[in-house]
Amino acid sequence: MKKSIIYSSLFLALLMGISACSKDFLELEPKTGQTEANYYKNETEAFLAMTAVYDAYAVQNWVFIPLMADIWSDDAFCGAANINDMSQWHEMEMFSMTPENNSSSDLWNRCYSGIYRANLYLQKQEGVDWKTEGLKDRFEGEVKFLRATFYWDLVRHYGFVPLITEVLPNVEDYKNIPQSTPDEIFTFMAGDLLDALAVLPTDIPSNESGRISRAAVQLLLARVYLYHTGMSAISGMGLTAEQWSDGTTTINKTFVRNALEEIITGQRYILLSDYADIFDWENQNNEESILEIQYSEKAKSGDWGGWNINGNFASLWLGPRNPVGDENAFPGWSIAVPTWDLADAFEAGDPRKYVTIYDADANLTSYTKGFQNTGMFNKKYMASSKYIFQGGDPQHNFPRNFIDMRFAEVLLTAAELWLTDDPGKARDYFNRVRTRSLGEASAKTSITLDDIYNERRVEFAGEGLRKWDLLRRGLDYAAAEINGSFHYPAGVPNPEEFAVRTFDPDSWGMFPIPAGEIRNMNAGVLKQMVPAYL
Amino acid sequence: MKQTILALFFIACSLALTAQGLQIKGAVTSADDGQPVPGVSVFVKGTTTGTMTDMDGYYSLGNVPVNSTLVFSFVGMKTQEVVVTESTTIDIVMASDVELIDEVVVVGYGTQKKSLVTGAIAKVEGDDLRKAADMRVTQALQGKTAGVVITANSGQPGSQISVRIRGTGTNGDAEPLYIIDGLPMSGAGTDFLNATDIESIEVLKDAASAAIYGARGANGVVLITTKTGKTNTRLSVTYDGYYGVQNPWKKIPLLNSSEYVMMINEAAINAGQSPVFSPSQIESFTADTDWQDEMFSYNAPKQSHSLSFTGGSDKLEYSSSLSYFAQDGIVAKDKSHFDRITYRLNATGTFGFFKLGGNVNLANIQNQGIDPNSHFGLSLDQALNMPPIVPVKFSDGTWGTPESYGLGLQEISNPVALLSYNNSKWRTNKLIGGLFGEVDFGKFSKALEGLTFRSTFGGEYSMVMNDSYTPEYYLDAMHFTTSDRASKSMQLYTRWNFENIFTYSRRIDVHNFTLMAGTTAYKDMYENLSASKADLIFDDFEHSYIDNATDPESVDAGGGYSEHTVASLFARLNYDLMDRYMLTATVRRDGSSRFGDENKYGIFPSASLGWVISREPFMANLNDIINVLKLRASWGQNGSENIGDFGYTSVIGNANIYYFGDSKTQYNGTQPTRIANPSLKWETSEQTNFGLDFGTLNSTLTLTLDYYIKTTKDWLVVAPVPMLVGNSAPYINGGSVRNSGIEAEVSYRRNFGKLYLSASVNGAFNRNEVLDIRNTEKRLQGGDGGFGQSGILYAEVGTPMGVFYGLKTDGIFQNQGEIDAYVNSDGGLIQPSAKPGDIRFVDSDGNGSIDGDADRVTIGSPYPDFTGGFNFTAEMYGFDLNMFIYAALGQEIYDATRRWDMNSANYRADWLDRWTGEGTSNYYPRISNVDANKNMQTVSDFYIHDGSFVRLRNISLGYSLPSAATKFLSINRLRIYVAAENLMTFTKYLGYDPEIGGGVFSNGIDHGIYPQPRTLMTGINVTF
Repeated sequence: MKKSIIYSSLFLALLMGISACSKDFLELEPKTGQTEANYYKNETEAFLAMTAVYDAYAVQNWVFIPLMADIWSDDAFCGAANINDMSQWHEMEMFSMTPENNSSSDLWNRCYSGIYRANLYLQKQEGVDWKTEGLKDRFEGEVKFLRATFYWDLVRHYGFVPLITEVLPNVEDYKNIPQSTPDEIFTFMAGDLLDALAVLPTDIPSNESGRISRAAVQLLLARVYLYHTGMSAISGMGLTAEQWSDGTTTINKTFVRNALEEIITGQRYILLSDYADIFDWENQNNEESILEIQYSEKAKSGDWGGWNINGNFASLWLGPRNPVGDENAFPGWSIAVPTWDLADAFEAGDPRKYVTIYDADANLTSYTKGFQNTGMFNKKYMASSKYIFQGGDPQHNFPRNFIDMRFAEVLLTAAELWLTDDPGKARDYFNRVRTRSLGEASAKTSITLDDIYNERRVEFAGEGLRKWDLLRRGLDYAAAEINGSFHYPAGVPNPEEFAVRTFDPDSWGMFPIPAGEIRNMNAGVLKQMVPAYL
Repeated sequence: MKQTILALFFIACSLALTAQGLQIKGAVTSADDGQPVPGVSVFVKGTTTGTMTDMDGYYSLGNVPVNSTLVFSFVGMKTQEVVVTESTTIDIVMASDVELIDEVVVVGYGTQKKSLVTGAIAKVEGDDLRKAADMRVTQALQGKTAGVVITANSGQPGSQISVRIRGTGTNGDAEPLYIIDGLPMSGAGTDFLNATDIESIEVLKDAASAAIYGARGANGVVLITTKTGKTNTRLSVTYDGYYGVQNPWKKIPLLNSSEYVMMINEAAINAGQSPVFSPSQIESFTADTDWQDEMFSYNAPKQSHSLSFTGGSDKLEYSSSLSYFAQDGIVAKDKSHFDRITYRLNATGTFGFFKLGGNVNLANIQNQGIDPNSHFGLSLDQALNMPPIVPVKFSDGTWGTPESYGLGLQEISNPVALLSYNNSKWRTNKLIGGLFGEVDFGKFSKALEGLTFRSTFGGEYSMVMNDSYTPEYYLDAMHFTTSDRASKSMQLYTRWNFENIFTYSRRIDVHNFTLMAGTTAYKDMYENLSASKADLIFDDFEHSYIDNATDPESVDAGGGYSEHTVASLFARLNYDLMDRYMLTATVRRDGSSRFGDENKYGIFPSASLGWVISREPFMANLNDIINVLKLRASWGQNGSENIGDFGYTSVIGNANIYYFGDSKTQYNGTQPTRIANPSLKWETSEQTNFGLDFGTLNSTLTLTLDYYIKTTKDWLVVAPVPMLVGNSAPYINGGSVRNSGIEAEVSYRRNFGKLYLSASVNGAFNRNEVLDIRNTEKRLQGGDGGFGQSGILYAEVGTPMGVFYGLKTDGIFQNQGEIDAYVNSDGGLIQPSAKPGDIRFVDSDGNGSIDGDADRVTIGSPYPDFTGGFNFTAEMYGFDLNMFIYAALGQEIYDATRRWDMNSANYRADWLDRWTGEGTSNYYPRISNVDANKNMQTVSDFYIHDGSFVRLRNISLGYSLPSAATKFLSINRLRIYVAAENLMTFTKYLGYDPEIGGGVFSNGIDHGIYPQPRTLMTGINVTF
């Protein structure tokens, strides 16, 4: 007995001495989730890594660009509960953004998160055991397209941003990356978009809706081209019209026009005969749509932080507060409410008006009037009680896709590009869009740039295009239109809420570089370059 | 109870004896009160022959050689030696040892005589803890020992507390390590302990004492020892119980309905808007709801009952207890409470050379609660912001809401209604226990005398379950559900700790040393599972089970697992020369799974020295004046690995969800969850301590002084990296902070005839200074104030760890002239948007404008400059009066209780003193719905308030029956008492409670804190 206890205790001591030194005991592998070193091996993992890049493209994270753009334009007022609610957006509307503005940092964060995921994918794809012919090229094309969209969002919101093209080995290495010029960013985007154009398919099967097609690349090229050309008038931007290039291929008017012609003649996309059908929640990914941001209730998101919201969060923002009298109206936050200026832009009898604008006074018996209440709400995307799902928080699980690109834009953009060189062709493209809604009788025999602008405004109202159209036509033009939109009809109870805000042309329609980012980089690396924020 | 350890030692010596010599018997009584002293060890000097006195103070010892010397010793009394002559009866009267320092204190992996301790270890006796009726034993430590700052995170039953030993040494988890009977735990894990089960709590404050816990001791170590039995004692049964009622001690004056209407209209008019309420509307308002009354629960009961059994035979000692504790919250009636049942058994048996012991704790806890300090959730803050014009219910029985008055208040709505929808309860079942075996090699061979080996295996198995039920309801646009839902989650915490220790003690002449060496292996595991499903066939909480839910589409489930291991080797040498010169040295090597290959192991050394000057021969003639004089000095290093698991590597997460296809197939996109940092290592805390112990006036007056400098290096910090990195920042070893301070404890205890008085005061000053932050901006920032007020706490080189950071204000612009006169060097207005009545902000950077961050400066600190406690006891004729006062002075509070972003939120009544015209106020600005000057949005010292407080934490008056009465009743002791907790709090702070604990970036921010209750209670202690 004595001996056995002595021996066993000595044995225990020895055992513990060994185990205390044993590396196995201390080397644990996570049981939930793989480590980076063991991942990115096969096509499935590559596909999921690419999906993460799409996720950054779709995420709203309290900075959904179309809504912010509309508030900045003459189409929408900021709204919200009161002037302190979403103050970062009120600052946008009042042209008084400071570098501490949350939206400025949230948008920066969202873009660079997407760029990181894209860069990481492009590095890791080399280690993947590719088996399917062409799959690597296609994934790479999609990722590059998405990386270009992140830089597109950066360059049009900040102008001068650091260009990051790969994941660096040490976080310290990032802190010295200086801002590139807009020209350098556009050049890099051109490279990504031309690479994507070379490999992406023209047809996307219905089980892949949401994936990037060749037409999406083409229309993005056209959008960027128009902005690039327009902004080249601002000397401080350092851009030269018709000189957008990746270094070898110049993406000029001819290039873009040809790209759009290919979409039009390819006839894969059509104008739906009824404008309202485009925005029918039951008719998503329809034949007019080129690229939709896919939102669904399926993830049952319940996190208010933003990154994990997988439904259309913006739908909640757009609706009237506390609506009573319309069983389909879901209580929203009354943000980005249409201006009377927009309502007035519709011609009498234009059916698009009430597809675009929800008239609360006509449809509801009562609702809580928020700040800058105009009685109008964005009907295209505002939440509907018909689409409430269980799981997570119903408020961010609206399964309404956001239509990023649709065929009507191809036609109106092509019309603009042909306007001087082939007015007849331009007019025909223009009339195809116009007559769809207003009837054959509304067709114009000749059109002007203003006609195209007006048509674009009413056709795409609430879709986030207007701000960029205003800016690319010149800062004076933008200023006149925006400043002129702060008007209100007689008898409005709180007219002071619509007091004129004066567009600051020195802002170029951009955001300040986030102050937190300046602090987190090495001293002096990041600077405000946009004149308004110097 | 301190004699237990000695008793164990001497029991080991009283082995089988040979029958020779005299049979000696006698009684041992105390010189103080003439009472018998049980448990005194009696042995023959120079032999192992010995025994102990029984419960009545009698002993009997055979085989005592004539002319040998009998030694009588007992902790706290002077050891006596008597030479055996022919007499067979030797009665002894033992006097108290005025040198109280011969107490034994628990140190890591062992015990030590207090007189020989060289570190800074504070001991709190279990009896002291029992005087406060706290659920968490650690809370009862508040003010008991200098340098340990304990702050309740809120007054909600079961709420956690924040414990800081010698200041905040890290930006991360600054809570100390808890060792409960050898098993490492977090502070949150101590909730199963019942105060009456505690033998003592030792706080290891200096690094040299804590170094034996190596990689986990950087924030200090709290050693909790639970009660054990005593050998050779008869069964003793004790009942401790109390019952009390709790009430809020403060209600905040708020606007009533008519004041509210006036102010809301004024704010609209000041903004150039039409009044919010028309005269006819105002006339229709009938309600004047006191939302605080609606949220408070008055006379909430609190009770505790515990029954404990202790005793022992010559080979076996045991202690067992059963307890019940129940506390209702003073906020949110029926939705805030904590009920606990515990059972414990502790037994040790000695079988010659082998000792075997074990303990089992079972705890069942049920609790419910609301958000204790939140301006978004269901908290008391709702009551502070709710318009008084809204009734709780309309006459038709529907809930009143701000929305029904056209008021947009976002998260703020009828809290009574929200409470009625809130159904969530927690159930916790814990099994904590351990087993040890100890071999005394000295029993085999004289050569091995003093060598013991002890092996201990302990563990915890805890299951925490949460059930909740959300009914289908519509309250307002922000508060509604579309279907009812049942949710359940289960969390399983498992941990085990296996340690093996050799101890070798030897006295050679005047050299006395103890060598200890051992190993431990520790593992903890966490596993969780949660699910919810909607559309129940029953619509109540009682039937809230997933199986009753019918909507298959609504199922939501999740679960995961994590684990963590630590393996360690350690050794310690204690050496003393003539009980006068002491040296302790330790070294520990820890390995942790939380670090990568590059830094898996860390080595933590320490050394300490002590010198008992009063025992020097040259002090002999001063011994009447200076009873004790001891100097201590120590230095040591500790670590902290308090980061999550796998911080050094990056795990692929799959939450990057997207959909493809017309049917929207969900794909869980993947990316690393954060940037990896394989070179991540421990934080290291290095501390130097100098201490002095002094006793005079027959040791009735004692003084302990300590000075320390503690530098924490290589903090584990999620360094803010630029967002353009594109993923969550890695943990880095990012900075260092120094805490230095002075701690003093003075105590006086003395009998004045029949009156016994004891008073002690302790106090500490701590200075906290950040030495380095290894990010580019040299700054850490965090903490939310009011809505949209972020980064209100910051730390940079030279500041304390997390101080309030905002603009300074300079009164109110009384007129346009003052605004126009506030110009920069170019003559431009510094505050162009200001109107008379707006706050004048200080242009701290002098750049001529008020521009957010650049003008922010330190505007206050949530850390007290001074914390201290005053304990007082007086006893006479069976009556005892105990009083305990706690003070925390010099800290500030950020008052974020009002939702400034909601124009129609209610105001505190002091806002009636707002600026309404020249000279009306120089503190409160005008109120306006359009705040172009950002009076309210700006983080400024407008929100900073003095948070100093002095609190009478506990006062009690008890009466113990005299021994004549107890003998008559055949009981040992009976004491009844009345007591009050938090009877008085002296503070200038206007909010509910100045005591607002939290982490580095949540400390001292008041979002409508759940206050500490004021409790009046009555109780009884009875021992049979």
